Amino acid sequence: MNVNSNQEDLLTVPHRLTASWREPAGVFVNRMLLAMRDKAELWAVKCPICERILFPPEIVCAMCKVRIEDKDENWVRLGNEGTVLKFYHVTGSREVDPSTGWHPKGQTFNPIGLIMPDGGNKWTVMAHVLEETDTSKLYDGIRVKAVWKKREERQGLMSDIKFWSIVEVEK
Amino acid sequence: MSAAAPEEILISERNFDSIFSYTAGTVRSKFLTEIRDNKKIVGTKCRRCNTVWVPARSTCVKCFESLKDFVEVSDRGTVTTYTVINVHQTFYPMNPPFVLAIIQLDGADTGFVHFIGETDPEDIKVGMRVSAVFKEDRKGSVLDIKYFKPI
Repeated sequence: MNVNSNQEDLLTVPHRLTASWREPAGVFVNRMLLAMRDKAELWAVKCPICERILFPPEIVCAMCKVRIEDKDENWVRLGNEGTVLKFYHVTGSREVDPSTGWHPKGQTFNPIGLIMPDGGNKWTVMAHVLEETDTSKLYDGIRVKAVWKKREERQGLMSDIKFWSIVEVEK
Repeated sequence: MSAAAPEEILISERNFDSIFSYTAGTVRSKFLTEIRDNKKIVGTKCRRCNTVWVPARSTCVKCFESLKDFVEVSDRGTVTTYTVINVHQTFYPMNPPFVLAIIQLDGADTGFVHFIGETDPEDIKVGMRVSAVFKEDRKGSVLDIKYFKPI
């Protein structure tokens, strides 16, 4: 018996993998999400050694390899406004998702900003949605403000912030 | 901001669903087309260590030889071990409870994973003899073998 090299006899094997699970966020991120949901506040932690301010909060500083203790002095409240360091905008049509057939027809995407909230330092950067879709009005360093969903719509998710809108700066 | 009282724990529900396909390659395609067209189960035999691999594979795991020699093995074999599946997953081809077994076919040196049917899970024993039941409508899949039934 030999390998049949006839192209028609080369088969493909269909597959489907599914998994469902429930996942807690961990002590620090859980508390951060609760503060977002209940108080519309952003909380980060500060490494006591290198003083990096980390959002989302991490339980171990990845640079110093020290445990950040759950103490009041290690928690830092970030402001509701911030500075856009950089932003990107996905435009144009995307391909059909090959596994689900889903296609974002007619969907508009908002630019994503790398935002440094006030109260953070250069290590405090979060990626989030910008309201302004006209990128000609955006620039690096532009000031933005978090727009929160209403209390009853907030679920303890990053999307509890609807988007960040441009703050008009008086000249 | 540190914890004063027991806190609520947020739990996120995650669902993963991936539909995909892969090309079987020449050797596995041969294995599948022999089941589809001829109701035969074939393996590959290693020239160096003489191990017969079923399902047919292109490389010997023991000595890394390229395997080119196909050998037909029996559609009868012996149950090496088995388990009863009771919890449903979306990608299962049938509803639980059903039995998954590793079957060493006569002429093969390795185990072949498949279902056992036409019997109660309680009646299955390690070492019992089984034979393949082929589907009438075969499509070139390992599921063209419906299951193995006790002899």
